[in-house]
Amino acid sequence: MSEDVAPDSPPAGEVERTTSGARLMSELRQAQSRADRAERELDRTKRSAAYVVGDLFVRAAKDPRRLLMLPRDLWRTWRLRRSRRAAPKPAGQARTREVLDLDAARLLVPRIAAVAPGRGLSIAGAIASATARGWVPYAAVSPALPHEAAALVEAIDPDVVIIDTSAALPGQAWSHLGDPAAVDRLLAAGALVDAAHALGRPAVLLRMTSPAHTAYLDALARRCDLVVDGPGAARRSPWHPGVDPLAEAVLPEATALLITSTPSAPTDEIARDAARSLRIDPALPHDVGWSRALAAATGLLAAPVPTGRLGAGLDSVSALAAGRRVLAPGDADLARMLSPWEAARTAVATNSRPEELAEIARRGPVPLTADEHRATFAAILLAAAAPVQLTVLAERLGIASRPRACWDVALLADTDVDPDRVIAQSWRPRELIVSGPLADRARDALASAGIQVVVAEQGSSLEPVLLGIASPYLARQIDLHDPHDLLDLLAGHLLGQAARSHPTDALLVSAT
Amino acid sequence: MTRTLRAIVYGDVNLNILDGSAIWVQSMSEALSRAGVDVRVLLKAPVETGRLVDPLRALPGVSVVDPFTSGMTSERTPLSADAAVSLIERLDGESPADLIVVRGLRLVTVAAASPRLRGRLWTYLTDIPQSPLDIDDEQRDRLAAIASASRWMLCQTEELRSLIEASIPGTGGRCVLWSPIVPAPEVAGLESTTEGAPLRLVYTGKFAPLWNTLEMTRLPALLAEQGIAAEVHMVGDKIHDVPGDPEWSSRMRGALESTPGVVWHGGMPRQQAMALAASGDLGLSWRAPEMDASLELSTKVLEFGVLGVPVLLNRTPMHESLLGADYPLFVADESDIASACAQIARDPELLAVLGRRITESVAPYRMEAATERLRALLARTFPEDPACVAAASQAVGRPLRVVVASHDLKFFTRIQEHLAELPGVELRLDHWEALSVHDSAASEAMAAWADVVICEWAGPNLVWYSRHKRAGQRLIVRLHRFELDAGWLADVRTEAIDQVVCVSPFYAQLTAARTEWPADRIVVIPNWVDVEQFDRPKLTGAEFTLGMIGISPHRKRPDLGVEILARLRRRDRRYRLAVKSKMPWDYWWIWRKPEERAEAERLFHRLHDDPVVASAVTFDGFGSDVAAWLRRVGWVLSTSDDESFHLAPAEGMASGAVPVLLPWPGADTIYDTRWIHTDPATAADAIHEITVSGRWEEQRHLARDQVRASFPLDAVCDTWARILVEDLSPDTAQGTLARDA
Repeated sequence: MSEDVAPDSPPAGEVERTTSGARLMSELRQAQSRADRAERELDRTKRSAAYVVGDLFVRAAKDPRRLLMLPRDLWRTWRLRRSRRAAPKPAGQARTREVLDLDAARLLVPRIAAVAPGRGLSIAGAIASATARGWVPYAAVSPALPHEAAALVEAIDPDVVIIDTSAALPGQAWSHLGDPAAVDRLLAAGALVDAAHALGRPAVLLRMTSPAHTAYLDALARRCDLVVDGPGAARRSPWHPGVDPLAEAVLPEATALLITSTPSAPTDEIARDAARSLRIDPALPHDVGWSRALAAATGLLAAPVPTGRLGAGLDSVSALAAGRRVLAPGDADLARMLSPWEAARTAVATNSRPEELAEIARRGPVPLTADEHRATFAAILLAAAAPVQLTVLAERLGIASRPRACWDVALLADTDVDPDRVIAQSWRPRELIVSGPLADRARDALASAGIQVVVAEQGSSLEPVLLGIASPYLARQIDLHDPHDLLDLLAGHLLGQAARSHPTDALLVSAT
Repeated sequence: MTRTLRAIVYGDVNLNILDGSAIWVQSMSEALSRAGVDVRVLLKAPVETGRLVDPLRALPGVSVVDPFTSGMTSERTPLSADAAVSLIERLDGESPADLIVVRGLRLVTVAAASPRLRGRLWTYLTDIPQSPLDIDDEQRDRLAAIASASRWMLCQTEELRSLIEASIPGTGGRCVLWSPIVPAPEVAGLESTTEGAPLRLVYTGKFAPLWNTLEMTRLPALLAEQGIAAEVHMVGDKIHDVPGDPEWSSRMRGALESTPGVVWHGGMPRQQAMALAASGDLGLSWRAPEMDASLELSTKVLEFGVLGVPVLLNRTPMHESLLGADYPLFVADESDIASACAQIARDPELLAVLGRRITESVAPYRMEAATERLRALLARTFPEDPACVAAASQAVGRPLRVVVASHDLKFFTRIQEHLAELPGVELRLDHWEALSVHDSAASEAMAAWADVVICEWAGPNLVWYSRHKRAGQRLIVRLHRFELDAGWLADVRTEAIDQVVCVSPFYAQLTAARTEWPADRIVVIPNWVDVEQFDRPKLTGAEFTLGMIGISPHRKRPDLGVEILARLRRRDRRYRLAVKSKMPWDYWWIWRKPEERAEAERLFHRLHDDPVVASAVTFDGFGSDVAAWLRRVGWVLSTSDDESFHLAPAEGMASGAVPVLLPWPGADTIYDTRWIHTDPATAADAIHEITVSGRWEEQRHLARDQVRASFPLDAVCDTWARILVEDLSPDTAQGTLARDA
């Protein structure tokens, strides 16, 4: 190391005050070293299965209430066995750090980290700025830097700790996590998981980059409680972390063409054509810069996907939510997401033939029609909208939090409504308002599908505010034969499209 | 090398079985032999086949020690680790070895505990946890013990080196890269594919589920469905038994024997297998994804590379760094293989292009290149006396007796190691417990014994030795910086000092000005930079990453580093700052100063409150893994108020980063003025201009060449050896140390 005043020892003046002072310092260091060793040994013993299990039995024997909890405690001990076993700590630093931890924590952990009450799902961890941007309106999100991550988790006790591998891409706070050359990053991620487990919180590894770039995270994946894969053809059951479609949809109307991924990179000529009228302010944060520039652009944009990114990237989805067409050759994930929606299929060009790419680039931007936009938006609501996706994640983790409640719909229906058709709606209503009691079978089927039946007394007002419903939206007269009717209605409403754009007389209004 | 070095090699591997470990023993022995070393290879098991042992015996300077026939053991079973180490000790006792090369964790653990072998072990480990998260305290302690007993830890890949350096204390500077070696093919290749013939895919090696060998046998049928005629040629006779799937080996054998399009050649000697591989169009090294986390590099991939046969393999960071991220034959499953083969079928020229490319990629892994690297390592490990030292040693009829007296040797370790290895020098340490605390009886004995005394730091150690210097004894002192302000220099008996060594011309001149010491005895030997250790490939995004090493005390001026970052991020948000340092509160003597605490408060408040830099600075801890950490850094900052040398920019330059200095006093006597900027604004301007103009690569290579010419470890060590017996010119204290390549 390159410091010419010895960094590991005090400068001369400090030690030279007295000879006995130097001796005392030396003895102190030796004693500290012995204490560190003993502490490590004790720590190792305390983390051993024999000690932990024995301790549980002793405590259970002393207290009958603990005895009842013994099976749960034993199961928990088994589940967290890896974190107990590893818990790496820099050798010889533990005791020194303890003395100064107060200062360290105060200075290192951002003062904004505290979670505001009533924000619903609380998430902390290694989170890319683009991912966080989509989640922030629907959850309390605390992205952490590697050096502060564990301390931050301890400080805010989030519902879940997430390690998002797109935070490991170049330019991001956790860049190089997953590269065997960056051992410190992996240790920091491990400490993050340990901190979550110490609080009894689940840790999730969100693999948003290609398998090649997450292969070295296997050991981390084994420590996590859940591993979810972002969109990408190579992975089973992908889970899209979602964007905030409302933020994207209300951006000024503009059209742009985004090249998100190309199996063979676009030729220089195409890239030049596509980029001819767009300049991105480099002072903007990289990801926000791209997105904002896209939203404001009236020209074309060629944006090759960073190495290692998979399909259906956040930028692509954001562009679609904003009503722009996306040129995404080879992006099977986007194609799959939009495939059920006839009107949305043309929103993404998946061609990869150079001459057709060039023709599309030359043709210039063509905005989505209202129908195309609504269909695309509906597809995003179902598969790539942050509150919906976070709710799915919370359900998988057993966390009682439901960010998608902001889009819950109460559906007004007749008493002879077919419950199967209600359940079959791709955007399932949260509440069903009927004027009289339903048959037991229908009520049970709806309840098991998570739909609460509200009986409005005969002659009562149909004013949403008087119905006593919990959902923020009320819908009526929907065509239950069309499984997407309610979703289409909601998409149109959120986009601010006139009700007449919907093919039926159905109506969706705000209930608040 | 004028003297012949002697080595003992033991791989803890049965040389009757052809596998990667056995090949390693063969390759290591051959490289040592080519480097002119006498090698004794100890066998682990009685010889059953000469397939590997016979070629070893044929190597010049290599003798195979068979303990089962030479009466060294009465056992007929493979040696245990304890027995093997006992035999190594016995061989060493009969004829001492300069280096003892050992492989395998179990064996190396036992060898590291041998006091006799300590310090001469060259250890090679692959069978350790491949992730730092899997290394527990017990394993860490075990590996630390191995590191402390090793002269060198040989690491198969850069990734494994990073893992060991960052996870195991005491390994920094002790790990060297020892890549797998692939021999040149000796057997002529079989006839290669002619036009219209089926595509030939070749696999050589073991048959096991993780190697996807059963899946490979399905490829001919799969490709036929795509209209591609193909054959899969498979070489090997080792079919694994799979616990939990007892039928697997019979299914594998059946597939080898009866699948149309699959040609099973059975086991073959390595060279013959390579000849068959050379006749293929494509090599197969496609494995199960579970293998992607391994830090080992497949020798099969390298063999295909030497043969110029493009290979289908998994995309992993290691394979990307070997072949490039844009290599088109990375595959994850059968459909990828089908696509790749279809691409080859459409464009047969691609085979030749990729063949040339892969051959170039694996060139560093060829025996010739490995031998050159080994020669350099041997020369560094076993340096020779400069002529003046040899003459002086000869004149007294024994090695020169050199004492190094110091309370803190951290800036002298490598020089000390070098001097201790010189045949013409016998070196002893007079370790002072603190700056002025020592055992005077021990020091008196040292003073009576030594021909030359080196005082590292001009502290009270210098005062004492200047007053106890014997007639004819030579006294050399190295003065760093803080000593100039100390009161004890007035107590030094000036006439006793033969040479005062400073690390920069600026401090040499300051020393002359502030002391009454004769200027003609004040000379400069720069600090050393182990350029070989730092020379590692950069990680993606390095051109946008600034680095600072050491930010305490505040006079290191981390705030100016953050200011440079802020100015850059106003132009481009991809810029980040990585800091490798302890925190100010980690030093009690710094943290108790109110002004230091106030500056730290200010710094961290800015990092939290200023949106331009918030989340753009990471503190990556303190440790000896600086060389590995510098891989992510493209610019190394030196923003201090004052420094005597500041190694950080030099280490950064050696790593291939561009140095960025602010003009601390004397900086221009060490570093080229092109790297020195007047203030943070001009520094930021320069960084951004170089980045956007695409000159970062050019500038970093220039910096690396400069540091190689200015302060390389071997040249600095050689100068230190010469100063033991002859005075350096006072001209060294003039001008600048910066040299162009």
